[in-house]
Amino acid sequence: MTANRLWRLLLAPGALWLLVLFVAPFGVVIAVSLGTTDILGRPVFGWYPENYQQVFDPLFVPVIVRSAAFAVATTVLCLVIGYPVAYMIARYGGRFRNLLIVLIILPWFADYLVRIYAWVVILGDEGVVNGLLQALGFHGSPPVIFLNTPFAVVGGLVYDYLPFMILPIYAALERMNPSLIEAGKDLYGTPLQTFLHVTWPATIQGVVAGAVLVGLPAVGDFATAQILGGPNTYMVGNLIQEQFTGGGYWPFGAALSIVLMVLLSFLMIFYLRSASRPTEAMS
Amino acid sequence: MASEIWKADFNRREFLRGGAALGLGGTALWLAAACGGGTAGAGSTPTPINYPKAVIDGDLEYFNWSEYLDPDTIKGFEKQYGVKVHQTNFDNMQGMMAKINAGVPYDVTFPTMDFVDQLVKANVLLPIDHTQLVNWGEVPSYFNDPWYDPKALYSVPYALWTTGICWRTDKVQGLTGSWSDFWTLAPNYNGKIFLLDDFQETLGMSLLRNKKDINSGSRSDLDSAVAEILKIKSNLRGFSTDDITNLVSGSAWVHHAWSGDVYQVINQVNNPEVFKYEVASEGVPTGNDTFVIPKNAQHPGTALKFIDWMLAPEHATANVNYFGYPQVTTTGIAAYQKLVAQYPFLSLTLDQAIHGLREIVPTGAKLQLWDSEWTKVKAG
Repeated sequence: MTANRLWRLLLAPGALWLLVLFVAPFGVVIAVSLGTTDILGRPVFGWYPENYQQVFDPLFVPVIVRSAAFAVATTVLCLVIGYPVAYMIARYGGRFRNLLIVLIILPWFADYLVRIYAWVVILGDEGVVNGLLQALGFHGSPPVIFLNTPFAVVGGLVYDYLPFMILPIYAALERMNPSLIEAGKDLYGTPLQTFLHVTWPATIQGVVAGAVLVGLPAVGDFATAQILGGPNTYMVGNLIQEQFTGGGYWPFGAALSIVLMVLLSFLMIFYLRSASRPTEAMS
Repeated sequence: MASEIWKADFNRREFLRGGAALGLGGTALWLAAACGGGTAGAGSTPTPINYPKAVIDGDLEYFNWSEYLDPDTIKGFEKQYGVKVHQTNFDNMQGMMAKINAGVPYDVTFPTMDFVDQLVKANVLLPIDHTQLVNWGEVPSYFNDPWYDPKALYSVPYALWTTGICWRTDKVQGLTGSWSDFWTLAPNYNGKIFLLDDFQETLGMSLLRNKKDINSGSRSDLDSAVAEILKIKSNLRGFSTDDITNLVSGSAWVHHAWSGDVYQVINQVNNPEVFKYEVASEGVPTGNDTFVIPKNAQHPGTALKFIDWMLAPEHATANVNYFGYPQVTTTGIAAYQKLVAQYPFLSLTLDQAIHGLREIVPTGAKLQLWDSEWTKVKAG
């Protein structure tokens, strides 16, 4: 019994944290989303459910489609880049494994904004890459316009979230028994067959976790599109952010946030269900 | 040219302006204010006017854009009066408003003129008795009764600016001193033109070009202003308030820009001779910052002394030479004219400032209209 009480006590700080820093602010966001504003643009609580009608204005369809497309592209690219990296580290990293993982995380010790601004310097019209291209004899001023394009935004998002793909895949690969791969080969599987029938199914959990960790925040990201984006890269995160800090209408921003959260929660539930299934099957 | 970017001194203000995005801390504060007090409402009854006296009453809590006031002038003030100036910075006007409305006890802060009007309506500023300011005589007579603050009861003017077009003379030809330049240049300079990511500036600009009121509240006026912007949107490089970064890095050949930022660009590049700035014949949006003392200030006496210190001719001159904006005092404007003597296109007279166009922060239903029209521009 005392052990039971101790466990409950240990849960308290976490529960408090969740209550104070998540549940309460979330309640405020819901309240604001149903309110209006005073003459100074400050939120006033009330009952204005029409704020939610505005969210479904056809005007915003392209913004939502674009955000989803960018997030999917980001997730796919992160997977294509991240899986081989995780595979190399897990299988051939040897005693350098931990060091290599630390090196992947290392840039994340620098502030997010600083790292995005660094891309402005690298990819700018008169930046490092275009300078190099010019020196190599490419023409045009600049040889290639990188910045302010959808490519820059997706590239920036991939750069932002890549470790979130690499880490879970790496963890899954590390958990996997390497002798499974040998077994696959012993059964005359080609490397590709072995990968498709042995390694991939054994690490699919890590891939799905990585896809969720990359895809969900990428949908709502706004700083990348704001700094690296152009006129045609406006994402739903930018729309929400502009309501709050750009002199916009707070209740609309709050309603948008809630709708986005509900949509993303569906994806999250789908993930949690798919994550629990194989565990059941194995046990 | 490629090496130029390394010389660019990314100053904190422009950097943060881009990152203002992340200023959600202020958001939370504002919410707290909205939930908690709500006493600072627009309609509360006026209390009897209680003017603070210009007597040093402690260290100064100072709240401004970063790098927007000469640090040596601040050090001089600390030394003269034996106080400390504790500096805090904001990234944008919304962040400043959030903290002041939440009652954070800053002694002096620097809203732009249209936000002074809002702060006065919110009843969160202390009145200022001009007889307490030895150097009040330096303030040009118009600013004894400016449009945004009748009788200058709550604010002292600080820096002036205009909004116009900055361009590279080595890359772009054919500017005519009209907002239409964006439209005529767009097809020829695809991907080299930026408009400001600021709904008042950019919708206002398009309204002016259509010969409409810069603060129009009419849906049809705004619809056609938006339609015009959408015509050139695919040729634009983007919407951005990082005009300094975009021009210095070479991404922008033509930029909808603020005059003071143009001076900063000229100061940062090694080919300053190629940058020029024009204002448009259809109308020149003009603005100024101010000094104000929030109601919750704990040291309003020191704040008054500080404002007075900044109005003094020698300090205004030093400050203008530092930040490149004309400070609204007789001496400050003269110092600015001297500073930009070699760049006559940056010349900004008091007369221009007084007769310039004023952007007024939209509120209520008008805010919702402007906001949804701006979303059409950004999302369309």
